[in-house]
Amino acid sequence: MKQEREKIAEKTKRLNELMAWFDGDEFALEEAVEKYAEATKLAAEIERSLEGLKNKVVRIDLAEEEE
Amino acid sequence: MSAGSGDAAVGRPPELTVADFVASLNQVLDAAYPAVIVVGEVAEFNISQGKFAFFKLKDETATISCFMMAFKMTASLENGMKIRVLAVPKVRDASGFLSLNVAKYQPVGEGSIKKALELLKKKLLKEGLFDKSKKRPLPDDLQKIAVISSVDSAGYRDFIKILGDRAGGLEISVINTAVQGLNAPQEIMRALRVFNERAEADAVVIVRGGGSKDDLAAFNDEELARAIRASRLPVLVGVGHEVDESIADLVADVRASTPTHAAQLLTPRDKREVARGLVGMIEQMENIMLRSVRVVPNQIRERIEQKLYEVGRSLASAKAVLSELNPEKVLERGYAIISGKVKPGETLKITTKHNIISAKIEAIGKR
Repeated sequence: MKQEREKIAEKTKRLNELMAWFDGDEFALEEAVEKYAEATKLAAEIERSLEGLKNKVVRIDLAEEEE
Repeated sequence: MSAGSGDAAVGRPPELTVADFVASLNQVLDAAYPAVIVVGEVAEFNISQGKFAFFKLKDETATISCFMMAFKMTASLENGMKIRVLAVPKVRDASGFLSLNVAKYQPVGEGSIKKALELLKKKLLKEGLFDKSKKRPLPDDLQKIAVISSVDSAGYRDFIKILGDRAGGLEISVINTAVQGLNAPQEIMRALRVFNERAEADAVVIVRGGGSKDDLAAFNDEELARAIRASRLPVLVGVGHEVDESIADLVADVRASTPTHAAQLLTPRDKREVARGLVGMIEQMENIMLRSVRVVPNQIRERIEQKLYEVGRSLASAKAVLSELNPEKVLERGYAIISGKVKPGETLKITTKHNIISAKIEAIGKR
């Protein structure tokens, strides 16, 4: 789970970098198409990962723990 | 009394020393009531030598003496307060009085709970247990959460559901405890101790749904309040409804108004909002690209317009020059145009603004 969360964090970071490029002075239409394709792919992957990520609940027995 | 030889065999009352009799009574009491819960009103409350608390519990028709060690008092007591005690009945050796050895107690009824709460608040406030400067924020990126709750309660189910809706990938450890009644504070404290010893979680959360003042009384326990304050792990308390404020809420690092609110505080970034944010980001990129596609023809048009302007300005300038060179303009300024062969005897044509004159050349001389 930790690995999956880290992957999501990495992809989100890259997506934010791409967004910053689109917003910045270095933006060029010729490169934008390629970067846009990368961004849509990343966004879809992040969304899928978020959907698939479930919480793990573990019960701890108080009496056993105290033995 | 005479002790005849066959008396003991036919149910003669036993003959005991006082000490043995008291001990025997205590054995009987212990067998009948190893522990008992008694509810009554406090009277003649007194603390002796700062160590021993004595009071009486009474109702309309009966009274019983109570004793407990002062350090075990978990809520402030006053005469007139109604309380529920967990105690062991015992006949005192020295005095022969029957009294209750009180292990735990809780105020009962709205008035008593309110009074006890006020007294305890005052005490803990004075000690600085509510100081905001001592409160720790929840870590930014929570991954491991320790939960103390009754796993069969609606409050716990709400809490887990909201966590699942809002976040994924959390590791949630749960210890099931009582969340109401006399045993609840001790069980919650034990769970808190276990989580602190394990030291794996990023934060501890204590949750319980709504209930009556009596139901929530466990969260006004002094010992529990001190345990929450002493926890090495930050503690979030989400107990009751929004209007309920317990001592546990006041000492907690973070207070949530309900279990649902506690789940929201633990997951500030809702995964559904994150997903919506992704869509927004992609749309923003699309807009930027569309805008830039429209900008290209604009730039070209601006350049053309600039050129046209420049060309226009040149033309205007040339026109002005040409205009100045127009012979009519010269005639207007009073000059005349002479045309024809410049030879003696020839006729010249002299054009002025208003006339055309013919003139014969008589002689030609040098200037």
